[in-house]
Amino acid sequence: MDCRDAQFYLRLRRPGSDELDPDAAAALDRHLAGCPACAAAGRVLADFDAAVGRAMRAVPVPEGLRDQLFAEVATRRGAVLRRTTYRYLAVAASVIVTCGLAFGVYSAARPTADMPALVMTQDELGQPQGAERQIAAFLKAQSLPALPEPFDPALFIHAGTESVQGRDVPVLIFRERTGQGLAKVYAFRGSSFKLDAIRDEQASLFSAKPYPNATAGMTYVVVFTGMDLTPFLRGGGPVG
Amino acid sequence: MGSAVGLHQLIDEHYQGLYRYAYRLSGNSADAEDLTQEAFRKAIDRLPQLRDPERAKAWLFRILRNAYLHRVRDARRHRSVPLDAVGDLPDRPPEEPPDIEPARLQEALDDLDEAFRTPLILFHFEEFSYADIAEQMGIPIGTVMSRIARGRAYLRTRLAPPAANGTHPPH
Repeated sequence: MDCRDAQFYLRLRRPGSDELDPDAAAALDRHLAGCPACAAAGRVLADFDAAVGRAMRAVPVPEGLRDQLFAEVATRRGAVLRRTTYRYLAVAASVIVTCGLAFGVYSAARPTADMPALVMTQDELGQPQGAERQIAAFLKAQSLPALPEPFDPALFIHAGTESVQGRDVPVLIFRERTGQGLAKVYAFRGSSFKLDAIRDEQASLFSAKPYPNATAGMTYVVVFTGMDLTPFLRGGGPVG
Repeated sequence: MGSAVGLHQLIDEHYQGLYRYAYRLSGNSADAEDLTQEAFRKAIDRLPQLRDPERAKAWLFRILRNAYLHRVRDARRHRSVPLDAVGDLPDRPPEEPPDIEPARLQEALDDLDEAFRTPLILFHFEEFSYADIAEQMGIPIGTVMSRIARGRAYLRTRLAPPAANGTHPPH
């Protein structure tokens, strides 16, 4: 190895560790052992790197940053745990809808709710979304009328479709203002479901309330925790 | 979702290094603080993606860099030194000062394009190997080595002591 090559490899060498090819590293070491000029240049480069490294790391970290980050963890863990709870509640709510619709919509044999399919469609739940514009954009994209109740956009979690009885049904999900409940707003079209037999349903945790819209040829069905929609509405507004 | 203990440990072990990296990338403490918080927020949400805890540091640094790039992608840099204009090292490097002022270093870094600034910063956070940096940036290891070599030459030129007549090397 000559001085030119040695200078080239010295540029790549990192103080304290060696990532050079072993043969190149060995050749460089042999050259440095016999070339005082290159050895001195190597020491200068190493000293410079060390000085840059010290300067690079000489950044004072703000007081309180650690505490802020810990507080962030506490807040976000709570949010994730709530989203996880919603996931399970959403499955239960979907079962309510499926069972209620199966009884009200079909006069023939009732199909069994496909739980694995329902669970899989909930995977996307919990992604922080939601605002008035998103809701409006979703309704427009699905050619749906305005929601039947003044749901609070700040409580909006997700909009998408859910498979119910083998058909994709648009659904919007809202969380409860305080507590861990949720409300799912399903939009059943007359073209896919027989709507005239849908009626209120109630189980131990959930209620289901239909909102027929003959003009639009569809029915909204809201499945929600508890017996009152107020916790999901703007300012706890009145229920229609 | 990781336990609180695991997340706290992640923060304790890496928040200072992450902040310093953010500072060197962005050049100011306010942005560095924002970027650090944003990186940990994203990390909390993506914790299931971290399969190897040994890679937590590299993973966090990658998240932070992506957050930084997302912020600056529409911003034009007021100027950046094209390192193509920086020639190869002289045969013998000039004598170097024993210490480098962090503020001068930051000025020099601020004038660098991010493509050269990032590998240079990561190189001097010693635990990052060339392979680590290549993985972080999604570029070949040879490109990393080339950019670091040019970046080091640029810093040596830029951070040389003032001339005897008091002038500073050109930017």
